[in-house]
Amino acid sequence: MAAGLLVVAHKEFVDQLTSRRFLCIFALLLMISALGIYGGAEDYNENLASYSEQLQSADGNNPYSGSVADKVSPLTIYSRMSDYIVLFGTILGIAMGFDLISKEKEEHSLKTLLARPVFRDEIINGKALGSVLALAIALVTAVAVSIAILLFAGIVPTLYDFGAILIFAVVSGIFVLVYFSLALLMSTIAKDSGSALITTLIIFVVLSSVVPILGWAAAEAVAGTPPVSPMSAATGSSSIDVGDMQAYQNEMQAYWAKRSAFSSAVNILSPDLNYEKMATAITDPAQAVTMDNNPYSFVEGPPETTPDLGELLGAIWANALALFVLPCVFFAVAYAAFMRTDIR
Amino acid sequence: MIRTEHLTKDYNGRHAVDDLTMEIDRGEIFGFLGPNGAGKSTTILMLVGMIEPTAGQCFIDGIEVAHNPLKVKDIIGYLPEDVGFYGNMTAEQNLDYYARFYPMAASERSKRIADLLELVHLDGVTQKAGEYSRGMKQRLGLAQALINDPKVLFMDEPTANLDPEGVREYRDLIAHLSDEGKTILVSSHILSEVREVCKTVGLLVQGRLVAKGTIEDVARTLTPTEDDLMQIVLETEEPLPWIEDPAIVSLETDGNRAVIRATSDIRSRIVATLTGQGVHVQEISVCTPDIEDVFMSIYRR
Repeated sequence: MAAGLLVVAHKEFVDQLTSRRFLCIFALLLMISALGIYGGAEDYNENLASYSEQLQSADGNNPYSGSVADKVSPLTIYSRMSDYIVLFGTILGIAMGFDLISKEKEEHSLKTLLARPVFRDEIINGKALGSVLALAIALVTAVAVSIAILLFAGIVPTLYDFGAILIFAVVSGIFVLVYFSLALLMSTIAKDSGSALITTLIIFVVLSSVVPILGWAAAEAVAGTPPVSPMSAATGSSSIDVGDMQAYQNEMQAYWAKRSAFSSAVNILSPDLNYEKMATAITDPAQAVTMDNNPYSFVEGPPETTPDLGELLGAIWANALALFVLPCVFFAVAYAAFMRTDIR
Repeated sequence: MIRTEHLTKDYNGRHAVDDLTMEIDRGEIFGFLGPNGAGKSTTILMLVGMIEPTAGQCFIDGIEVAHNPLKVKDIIGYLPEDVGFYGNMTAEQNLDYYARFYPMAASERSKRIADLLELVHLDGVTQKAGEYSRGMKQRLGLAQALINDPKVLFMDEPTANLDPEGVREYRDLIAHLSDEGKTILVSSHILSEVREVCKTVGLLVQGRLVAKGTIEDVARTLTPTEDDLMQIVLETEEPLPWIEDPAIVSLETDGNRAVIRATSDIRSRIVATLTGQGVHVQEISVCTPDIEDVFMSIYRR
């Protein structure tokens, strides 16, 4: 590894960890997620107590006790944390990246830096590396605090839970990287930091809010006219044929399946939705294999048995791929733009 | 030490630097003169390996720059015109960051930084660079350019933002660095500044090197001449007699003063003739055009 890259990465790492901006957002993320985890832990303990009571009732062969719910998992607590990461992680990623290059141009320090025996790519790679390490420390700290709170609340995660929490942290890190790399790209191509920030925020709104709305509208248009219910077609006292009703149900299911598939395909462009899907796959796997935006799936609810890994990957692979590819694309474009930057 | 061969840089189809061929010897203080937009900074950026030429080559200490930019950067120092630093760091921290790109031990780095801060009178300054005045930044710029004890130093408009005291110190520093054997290229559009420190100059106009040599050589080269005649001004104590010499083309006399236009420098012959006639010469000189005027006329083109 080139020495120049490490020098730049070291400076960037220290700059990020000592910047007020980073520390403020990180403190907020830590505080809010800690409160969320604490609340989630209390809910978990209540659910666990309820589960134990149901078990005891079932053991007593009480015929009116009803079915026993699945045992609750401590991982469900992390679904709350994912909500906070969507908000604060996005802000943190953007805050870390929007002036990474533009500030160097504004302060004229880029030319002074480039006068050193260092390749241009070492500068942008070093900046990205230093920032990613700072981000990793932030997320590891947040997860460590969350585990400490769980232990404090008397919840001891299993080895499987620990593995899942680790994957959750990695996925959360990749999600934050999406917006960090987007901000870095804008910082490289924008004239100044202000423009970089505004452009990044506009793209963030498009990806997180406009894409899902467009996906819904486009899916509606592509799916065409929904089948007409035999009930609304029937007039007066004429009876409805059971066969017609069954056919209608089948057509309606197919209609919603098509619509759901199309909106899911469009939603692949939204890092927020991809992250939520991934987080759900980790914290509540059964929920992750149900179809999004499909009322039939909603009514049916998640499957009673926990899906196996193959089934789970089948449901989320596109989201996982998109979540991983997007920061790579943003960084690649930022890299190419930086290499061509006119430094006169 | 510095050599360019048909160096050319195009921007949007326009020659910013056009077929520049020149050579600067080791230990020389060379002034790069020219109006704004003449291509001085672009030339320096190519010489320091920050931009690649469209055509031609440049060499620093025999190293071809475009193919070995890092090797070149190891042995050069560069003070950009608009030098900038990290505002959240002190002068020492800024210099330490830059020094880490060179193969220097921590103790050597520390000593070098302390020496340089003392040299530019920023030792003991605890302010962050973001709070510096423009003059202080310029002085820190000089220090960063010397962090690796370079063989060759490029300075783009080095006295911009410096107060008179700072300018004087800068001149002393240049002289000191020259004594150490460093080759220095100073780019400026201010003739008086270049004249103070540089032994030789090159005049760049619209990307082309129009003249190179000492200031006087360049001025003479650029002076518009009428049939290459020399103008001699003469003053005597007694009224002037008629002067005859085959080299004289015209002679205008006014009492004891004359303006002679001749094909060569005949001052010694005139003095001998007049002395022989018992006329005492008070002053005799070749009339040279004002250098500032000559350069200004080029700048205005």
